Amino acid sequence: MTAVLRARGLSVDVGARRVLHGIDLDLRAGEMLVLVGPNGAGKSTLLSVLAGDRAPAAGSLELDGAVLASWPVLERARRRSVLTQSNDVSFPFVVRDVVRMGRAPWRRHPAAARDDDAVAEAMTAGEVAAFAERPVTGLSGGERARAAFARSFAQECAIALLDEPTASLDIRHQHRVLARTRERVNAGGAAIVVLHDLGLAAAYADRIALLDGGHIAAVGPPRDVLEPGLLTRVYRHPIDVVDGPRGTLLVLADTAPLPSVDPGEPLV
Amino acid sequence: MSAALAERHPTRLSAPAARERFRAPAVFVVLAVALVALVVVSAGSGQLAIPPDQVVGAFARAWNAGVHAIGLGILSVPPGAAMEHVNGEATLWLIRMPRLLMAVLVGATLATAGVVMQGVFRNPLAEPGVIGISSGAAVGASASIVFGLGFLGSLTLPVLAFAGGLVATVIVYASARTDGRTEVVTLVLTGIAVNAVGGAAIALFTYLGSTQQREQIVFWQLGSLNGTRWDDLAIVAPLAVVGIAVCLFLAGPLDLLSLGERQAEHLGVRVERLRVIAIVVIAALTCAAVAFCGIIGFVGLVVPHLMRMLLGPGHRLLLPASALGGAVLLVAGDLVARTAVPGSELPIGMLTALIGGPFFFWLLRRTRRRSGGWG
Repeated sequence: MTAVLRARGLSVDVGARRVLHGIDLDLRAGEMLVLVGPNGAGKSTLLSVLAGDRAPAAGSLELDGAVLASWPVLERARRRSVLTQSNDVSFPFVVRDVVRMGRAPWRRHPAAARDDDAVAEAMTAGEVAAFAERPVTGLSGGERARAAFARSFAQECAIALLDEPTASLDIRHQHRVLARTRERVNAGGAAIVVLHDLGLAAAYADRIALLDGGHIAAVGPPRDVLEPGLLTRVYRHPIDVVDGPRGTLLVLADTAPLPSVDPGEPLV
Repeated sequence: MSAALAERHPTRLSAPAARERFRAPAVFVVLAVALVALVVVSAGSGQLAIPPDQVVGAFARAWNAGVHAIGLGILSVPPGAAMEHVNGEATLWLIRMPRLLMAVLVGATLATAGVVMQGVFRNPLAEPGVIGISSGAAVGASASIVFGLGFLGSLTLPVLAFAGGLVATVIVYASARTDGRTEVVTLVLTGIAVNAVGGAAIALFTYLGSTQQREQIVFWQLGSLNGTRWDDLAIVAPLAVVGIAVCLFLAGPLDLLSLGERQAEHLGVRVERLRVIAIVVIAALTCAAVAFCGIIGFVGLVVPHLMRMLLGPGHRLLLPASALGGAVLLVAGDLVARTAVPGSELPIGMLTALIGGPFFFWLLRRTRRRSGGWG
């Protein structure tokens, strides 16, 4: 399969600190790749580099076979959509207008004919129709996140990059967001999703990349990566993985953490 | 909290679609009618009062002369009432019209610059005065007054004011940039620093100047449209028209920018380029307004906010509506400034600050209540 996004030896500095060390990662067409890892492992930084927001200190990054930086900003916006973690809108646009902004890259392009349909489908995908006419600045955190998801969904790009899209959502909408993304992937798209919930990652990912301290600790199918010993070491917390009903994987964190160990200290 | 906020705008939410659809045209029509009416009333007001029908008559004759001169006599209109006072035509065309047109241009210019600035800084409190353009211009102006500079004749002061404003803008923009990007907080804080240094420079010039020069500096800072000539208009008009036209082209990208800088870039906006264009245009617009008329504050703050309340935050409507609204506000302000105290003239900058100050305070309170401050 062809890699639509290919990173080789990516290193990234934030300030004077190196937060990513020589990351090699491929995103293939028709694949949903989920990034997991503890806080500060570099998931969001990696996603922002892949989105082109941040220039890597070393390494190469290719989008559809050409160096990412060589793509004009507008062409990038037609190939990949990005959903960031925080989505504050500075003026009180109504939700419908915000979702419609997702169509901006397709102005003066034949695909603009799909604008109305794409907006309608995206509003259904994010279930935002109920508050479509309300200013986005007056919504709850979860509603705002759904509006932002709908906006990035309306962009209808082959590649979707999503940074913790489920963070402030209830169970219904967590699954809704991932299921809609999954449908796009199955239809030939590709997605990289940052998730904290390992159970969700197991349920939706084709491959999981586990980040630890700026390195990729493991990458592969969920059953290979979600291995109790590895997770316990990376998350510094006792974690069990058991088979659930209907072929699912259940990731269980021990509710009684080791009492003698300061959670801020690395396990020895 | 969000539910409570949403319920505070029941009319906006439940308004029938038909009413929403007619809202924008209605706002534009009301503003345009108000502007024309104010121009006619203001042109007839003053020590030499001219009745409105005679003002309209004078406009009609000027229009006819104009269309005949370019061979389009077919467009001529019936000449209205003749001017009764022997000095009426002279007063109207030599003194009042240049001043009125200047008020229209300056008002439109300041309000448009305010909209673009608020959009680009993603902060509803941004205003051309905030990032130091006005005080930079004031430094240039007071330097030319105190040192009696006259190398460009009567244009020396405007040119120096313009230069001072541009220099201030470039300093703020250059020093607020890191890694090819501009952080909003840094930019606004740099603006505060530039304003402080500008204030010090103006204080120094005031200290150095003679009594008469001090008076000139003080009055320039108060702002006034008094003594506007057609020559001044010939300089301001092209800047204002081109600048406002460029701003109208920024409407789409400015909408997207309200999602955030990264988010706008993800949607294909070249954010750095947008910022550079916006900063240059804002500087040019503000300086064009400030150079001849002194500092007229808060127009760029009050008008965009009123228009946003009426029309929503979309820049495609907000920009032209604010330009029109700014013109209305300044023509009205100038009428009050000229006529409130018989035989004397109030500084218009004082009037706008008198309205703008409390408005800014109210805005501050409201924004704080809504979002608990903005970091």
